[in-house]
Amino acid sequence: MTEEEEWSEEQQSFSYRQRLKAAVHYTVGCLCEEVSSDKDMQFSKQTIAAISEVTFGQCENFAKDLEMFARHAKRSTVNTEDVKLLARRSHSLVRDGFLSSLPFPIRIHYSQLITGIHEVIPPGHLALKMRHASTTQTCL
Amino acid sequence: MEETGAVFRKELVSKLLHLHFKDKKTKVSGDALQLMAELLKIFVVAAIRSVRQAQAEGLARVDVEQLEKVLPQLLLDF
Repeated sequence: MTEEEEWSEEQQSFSYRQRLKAAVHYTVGCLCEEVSSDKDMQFSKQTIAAISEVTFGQCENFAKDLEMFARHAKRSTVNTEDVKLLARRSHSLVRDGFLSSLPFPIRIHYSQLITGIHEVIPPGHLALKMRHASTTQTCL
Repeated sequence: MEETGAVFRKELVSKLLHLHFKDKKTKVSGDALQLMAELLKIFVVAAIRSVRQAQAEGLARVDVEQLEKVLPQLLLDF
């Protein structure tokens, strides 16, 4: 590949990422509007942008974990068990009573998500559990 | 409580995940995409509500400072 072609490919993947970020930003904006519509509250553009950035960034962690979970189960297709495993730590959101502040329909879906939590992680899976140990500082 | 209508479209979720997969052969089932869309929505709504809870009474605008206060805890939960 020539340098020119490399540069063009880089530009294309950059604008692809930008388009995905914009799509996330749009959805986050809609959610902000809906959640705050009953109260007399506005969200600054920077806040919406910040939530979008974090959400987009989290997708990288989610994707890598999901891929790893599926591979660990010797599958090439990520399924709902992998997603439930991904959501297991959100259990703390339930413990702290955070769940009660979420709108009712979301609460229902959420409890469906966490019913599949694995209670015991066998020792052989310790490596999987420790995978984030070296990368605990996330973007902020 | 009102039902929120905005959703993460399955197509968008799929693209977001595939952007970061290391193996080209990795796929995502339709049900998993559906659940991921829910999870992302919950993540965003939790962020929004965290900011609101951190908001002092009487303020009409939510700013980045509030989000920065609650974000570390939110990320730890995930």
